[in-house]
Amino acid sequence: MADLILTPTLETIYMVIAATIFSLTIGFPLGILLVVTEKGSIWEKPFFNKVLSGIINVLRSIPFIILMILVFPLAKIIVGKSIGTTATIVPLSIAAAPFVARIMESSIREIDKGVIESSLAMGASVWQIIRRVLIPESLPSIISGITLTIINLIGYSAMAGAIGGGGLGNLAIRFGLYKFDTKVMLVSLAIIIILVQGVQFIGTRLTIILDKR
Amino acid sequence: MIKLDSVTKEFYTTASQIIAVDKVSLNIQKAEIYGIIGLSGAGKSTLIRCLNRLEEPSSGKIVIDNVDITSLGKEDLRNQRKEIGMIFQHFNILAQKTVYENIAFPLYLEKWSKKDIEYRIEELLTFVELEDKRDSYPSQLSGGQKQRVAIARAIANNPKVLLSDEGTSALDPHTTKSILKLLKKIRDEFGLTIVMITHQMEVVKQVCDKVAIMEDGKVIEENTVENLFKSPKTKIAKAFISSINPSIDEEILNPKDFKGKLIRLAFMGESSKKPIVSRLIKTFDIDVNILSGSIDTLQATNVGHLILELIGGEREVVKVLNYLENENVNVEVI
Repeated sequence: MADLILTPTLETIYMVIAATIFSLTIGFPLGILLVVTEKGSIWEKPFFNKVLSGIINVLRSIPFIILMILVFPLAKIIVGKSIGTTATIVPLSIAAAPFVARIMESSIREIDKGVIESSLAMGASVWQIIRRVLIPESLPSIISGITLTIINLIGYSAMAGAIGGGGLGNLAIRFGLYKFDTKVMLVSLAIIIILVQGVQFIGTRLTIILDKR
Repeated sequence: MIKLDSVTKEFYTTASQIIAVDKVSLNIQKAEIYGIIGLSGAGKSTLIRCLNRLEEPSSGKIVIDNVDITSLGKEDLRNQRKEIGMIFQHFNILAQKTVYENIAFPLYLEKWSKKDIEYRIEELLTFVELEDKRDSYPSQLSGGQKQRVAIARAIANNPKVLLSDEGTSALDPHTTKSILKLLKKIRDEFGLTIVMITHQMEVVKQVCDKVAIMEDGKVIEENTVENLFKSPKTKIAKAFISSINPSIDEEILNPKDFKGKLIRLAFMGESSKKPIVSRLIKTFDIDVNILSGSIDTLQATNVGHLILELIGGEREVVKVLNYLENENVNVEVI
């Protein structure tokens, strides 16, 4: 039983961590771009901003299950196969990246405009403002956004398990749905719940510790 | 030091065009504390923001320390902004950073060495009297302390000019006073030229050398603070002065309610120290009724105001008026 559970648990953790890293790598800069290229902001590019915002909206509109099927070919190119634990990281990252971008955008938007203005008055460049003002000032809010992203990814990864991904979702489907082994299904569900609770707990604590407001 | 030539700022909305600043020309001397006062919507905030081009002027020329600010490209403007410190009504300091890190901000931008930053900040903390708040976060500070942090930050890299956009408007009167004292100390010790926007005459009275009054985007009156207090020309200037001295508001005095002649006296410097009223009574055959009076302590001198009712013969009154003129007193018959 322990072996049966352990491998899928590690698979889930692996998928979630990898997808978090990739989606942050893509989504974080995009979120910053969304804010700074907006009209009236520090690096005005209204046309670019509209296009970027449009693409993000389209990606966010696609239901995850459909997105997964759509990116099967892409996963094949990147990791060499279209199903399995590693392959699932591709659709997970693509699904979460636009979500991360929006989360970053709203976190940065919380910053008082006056603070940005005073930095401009001190002669800060766009890059200096991003690095020294936008990111540090919104950090607590960004951390709580990342927490939300990780929890979403745990949910998505379980869903991915149903159509060829590995992990706890796959375990629950295999045993619960196909073999009517309710016990294994409940155990995998319990582990997912513990993962979500743990992530939320750490995220909340970090946010509180970091926020000096 | 700072020269504005026909600076204009227009805003366009879909429906209309708003002229926020209308052909403003000013000449501000080095180490002067220059006040720009006006009601909200007068365009004063837009004007001061044009000085470091946080707001792009639509036309006109701004020269600060022989540099034509209006013609600078992006990079040059960024460098020039480092010579112009600025403080704001709502302080605008970083909420997630300590006092130390906040003050260090402009020094980080200029890539000072860690040791130099450390040294400079200790110096600044002493100057603004926040030695014990070095590692505090803004949420642990009072409004006045936050503004002190903002001031230390604004002067950290030794700029030549300090702009204050309603820097004391969010503070209580006592704190306002201490912040104004600090600004004056900055001018006196470092010779900074300070331009401040305010809607409080009290602020102008306490620290400014010169003042411009703005209304509807235009500077309608410009004078030294003493002269403004002594003889305000425009209605709005009078209104600002009476806002801190309600007693000299002559609108509440109706000459028809009095038998004698009502006169308003304004005197400053030497003449404010002479016992003028007592001499009037002794020298001329006249009765004097004091209706209101006040003395304002300004930067350079004292300005006194008196509203008197002169009761006596027509000729005696004329003699009194002549006497007062000779004594260097500004007389206005109400």
